[in-house]
Amino acid sequence: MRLDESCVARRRFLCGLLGGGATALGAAVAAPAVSYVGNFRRQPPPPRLELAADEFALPPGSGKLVMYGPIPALLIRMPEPDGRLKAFVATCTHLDCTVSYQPDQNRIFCACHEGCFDLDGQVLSGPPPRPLREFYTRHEAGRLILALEKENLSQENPEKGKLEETAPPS
Amino acid sequence: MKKLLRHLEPERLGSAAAAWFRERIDAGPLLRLLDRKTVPAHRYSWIYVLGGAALLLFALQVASGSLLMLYYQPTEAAAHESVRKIATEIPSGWLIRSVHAWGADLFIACVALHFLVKLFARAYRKPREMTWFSGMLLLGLALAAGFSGYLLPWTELSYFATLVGTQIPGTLPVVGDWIVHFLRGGDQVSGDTITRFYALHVMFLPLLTAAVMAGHTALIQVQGMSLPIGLPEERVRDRRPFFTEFLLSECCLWLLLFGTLVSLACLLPVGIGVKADPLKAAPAGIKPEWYFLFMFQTLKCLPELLGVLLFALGGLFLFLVPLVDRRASRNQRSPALTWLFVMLVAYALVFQTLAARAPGGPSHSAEVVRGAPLAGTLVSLALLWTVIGFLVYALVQLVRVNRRFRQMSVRPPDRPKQQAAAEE
Repeated sequence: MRLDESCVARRRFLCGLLGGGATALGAAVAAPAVSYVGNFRRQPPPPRLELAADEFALPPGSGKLVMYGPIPALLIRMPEPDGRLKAFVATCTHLDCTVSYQPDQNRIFCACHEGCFDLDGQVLSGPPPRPLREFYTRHEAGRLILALEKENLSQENPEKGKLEETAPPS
Repeated sequence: MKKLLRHLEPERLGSAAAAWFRERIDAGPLLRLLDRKTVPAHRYSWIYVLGGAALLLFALQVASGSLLMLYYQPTEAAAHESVRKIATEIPSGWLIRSVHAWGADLFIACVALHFLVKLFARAYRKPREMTWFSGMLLLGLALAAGFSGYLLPWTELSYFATLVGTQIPGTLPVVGDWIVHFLRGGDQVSGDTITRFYALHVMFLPLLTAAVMAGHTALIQVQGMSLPIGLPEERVRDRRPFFTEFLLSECCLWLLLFGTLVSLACLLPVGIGVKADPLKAAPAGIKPEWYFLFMFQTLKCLPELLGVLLFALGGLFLFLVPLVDRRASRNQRSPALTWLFVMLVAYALVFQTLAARAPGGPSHSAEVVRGAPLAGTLVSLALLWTVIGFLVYALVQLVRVNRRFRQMSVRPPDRPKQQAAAEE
C-alpha cells in the first residue's frame, strides 16, 4: 500500500533527524561537563618564593623539602668545603615521585624506581630520562628567593643572576 | 567493497547488537510489560506526565550533584571556600551549581504538584494504596534532600536555617533532645553536622530515593494509570501505548523542562553567600527555602510543640488517606475530603504568601556569579532552544506517525518479531 510505504519512509527519516538532534544536544551537555570535570585551566606556579632565614638554615651536607606553590622543592646545603645552597624541583623526571637527598651517598634519590641524580641534578642511574630542574636562587636581606625563571628572581633588576650566594646564617 | 559497507550501515549494526543481547538476555517479559501498558487519553491526561518529569529532575540532580562532589569539601573550614572555588574558578562550575540549585527547586515543585494532583484525583484508591505510600515516602525524601543540601555551602543563611530546623523536634517531650543531637551529630550545628548532612545528601537519601522510586514506578507499570475519580470510562477517547507514543510525548516535556532548567541556571545563577560564622548573631529576616516557608510561618504563630504535633498529625493523615477515604475505595466521590484538601491547600498558600512577603533577604545572597558574559550566555541559550525546538518537532511528528501506524493496525517495521509474536 502506498500510504504504508510513505509512513515507513517518514518514520525512518524522523528517526534519523532525532538521532542528529540528540547528538547535538548530547554535545551541548557534554562540552561544559567535560570542561568542568577536566578542569583544564592552567595553574602556573608562583613566579618566586621567598624563604625566611630559619626556613633554609641547613647544616652542610643536608637537605630539606619546601613547597614552591604546588611543587615540592628540595633545598640542599652542599657538604664542606663547598657549602653552597642549591634548590631543585623535587619531582622525579621519571614518574613524578618526590625525591630526597641522601647525605651518606651525597646524591639525590628517588625511591619509587631507584633513580639517582648527582648534586647538579644530572642522572647517575635508573630510569629518569632527564636531569632535575634547578631553581634560580638569590639571597636578599637575609632571605632566600627561589624562582623557576631567572627574570623572576628580581623584578627591579632581572640581570641579577643565579646563585648569588651570601654566607649561610650561623 | 559495497557489500562490506552495507554491513556497516547503522541499522544493520543496531540489529546485530540487538541480536547479540537477545541471545544472552531474554528481555521478552520486560518488553511485553512495556508493550501491554496503555495510558488513557482524556481531558485530564496531562496529570500523567508529572511523575515522569520528577523522575527526569531526580536524574539531573544525581548527575549535577555527582559533578559537584568532584570539588566540594565537606568540612567546616573548607566547605564554603570549595563552593566559592566551584562557582568562580572551575570552568562551567557556576553553571553546574546553578543547575543543581534550580533543579532542586523544580524537583520539589514537580513532586509537590504531582502529590496534589494525585490527591485530588484520588489516585490512591484501591488497588493503588501502596503506590501512594511509596509516593508519600518519596515526597518526604525529596524534602529531606532539600533540607540537607541547604546546609552544605555553609553560608550564614544555611547555618541558621539548619540550626532552627534541627531544633524544631527538640520541643517533643522525652525524645526531643535525643533527636536534635542525632540530627546535628552533637549539641551544636558544626563541622560534624556538615559531614553528616553530606553523607545523608549524597549517599543515604539518593540511594533510598532510587530504591523507592523503582518500586513506585514498577507498581505503576504493573497496575497501569488510574482514571481521576468520577471520570466515566466512556470519556476516555483513546488508550495510547505507553511504549512508544506516551514515552515520546513525555520526552517532549523532558526536553522543555531541561531547557527551562538550563535557562533559569544561566539567567539567574545562584550566589555564593556569606560564610557561616557561629560567633555572629543571626541576620535579620532569615528564612528557610521556599518549600518550608508555610511551616516556618505557622511555627511563628503557634506554640512550637502544638505546631510540631499538628504537622506530624497532618503528615500522618495524608500518608494514611487511602485507608481513611472509604468512599473513594468504592469508586465514589468524597466531597467532604475534597473540601478538607482545598482548605489545606488554601492554608498552605496563605501562609506561604505571608512568609514570602515578610521582609527578609532572598534565600541566596546578592553575590551572583556567572562565569560567562551575558551575551555569550544568551547566544548559547538560543542555540540550545533551537536544538530543543527541532527535537520536539521531530518527536511530535514521530508520535503522529506511530499513531497512524496503530490506527491502521500496522506494526512499525522495526518492532522485534518475537515481541509481535508474543502479543499474538
